[in-house]
Amino acid sequence: MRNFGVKISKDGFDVKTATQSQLSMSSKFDSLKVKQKVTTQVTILNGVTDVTHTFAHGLSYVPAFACFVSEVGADAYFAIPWYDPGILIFAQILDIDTWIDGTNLSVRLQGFGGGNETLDLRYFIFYNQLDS
Amino acid sequence: MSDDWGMKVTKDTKSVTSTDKRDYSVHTEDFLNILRIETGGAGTIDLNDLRFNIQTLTIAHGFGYIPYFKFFGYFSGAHSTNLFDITCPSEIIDSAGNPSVYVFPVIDATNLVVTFYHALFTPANNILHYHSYFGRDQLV
Repeated sequence: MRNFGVKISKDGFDVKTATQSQLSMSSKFDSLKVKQKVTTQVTILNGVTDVTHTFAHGLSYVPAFACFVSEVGADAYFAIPWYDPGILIFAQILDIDTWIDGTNLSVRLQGFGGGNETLDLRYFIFYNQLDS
Repeated sequence: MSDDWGMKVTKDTKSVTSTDKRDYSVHTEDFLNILRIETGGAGTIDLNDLRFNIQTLTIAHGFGYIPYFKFFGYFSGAHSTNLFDITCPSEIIDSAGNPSVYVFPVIDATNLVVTFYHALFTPANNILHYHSYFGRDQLV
């Protein structure tokens, strides 16, 4: 690799001699570049045990992503994939999976179907390509 | 972003005039940013009591908002090379190779709280080593 780029050392280290772990930033390595942060809600209705929510990410390739979930109005978030440990964190939801392709990010909720439940979802879409 | 300012660094052999964000290792022109990560708490927790009780681990981040997070762990012993990404609710194996611990992390504006439940097997050699990372990017 040619010798170019930007690097910033941590406090107390000389940037000219610092190892990679002594740097807080180095452009020698790729960074996770946030394209979009999405806030949305999805509702699973009474009598429905399986619902898939899709979000078009607008990239022509498969990007890196991360998803989180919470009850509406709650102030605590879980990472997805998520499944209930047997203590019924959510009233109706037992299992939440997520996946992505070259068009959509999908989140699938599976549950009892015993009533309506709405969840807050947070997605991070990154410019970084997963399938490269 | 309308203003033409910031920093971008291409990957080797890529042109700095490229409009494809994948060609850059660093690019600050977007309306958001690169994911900024801070090293959070790290340490060990003895899960010896797990066969009788639920155990919890609280790692304070103190940001005052709910941040992006990652959580990793491994057990001492024979399977100590198995470093698990346990950011999501997960069942992990203990030092005997058995699925013994169910890990359930949740984050709020103050703490990352990880709850451990007894899974199928009784844990053997119960010392779990953990590492947490918090992002400066807000979830909420």
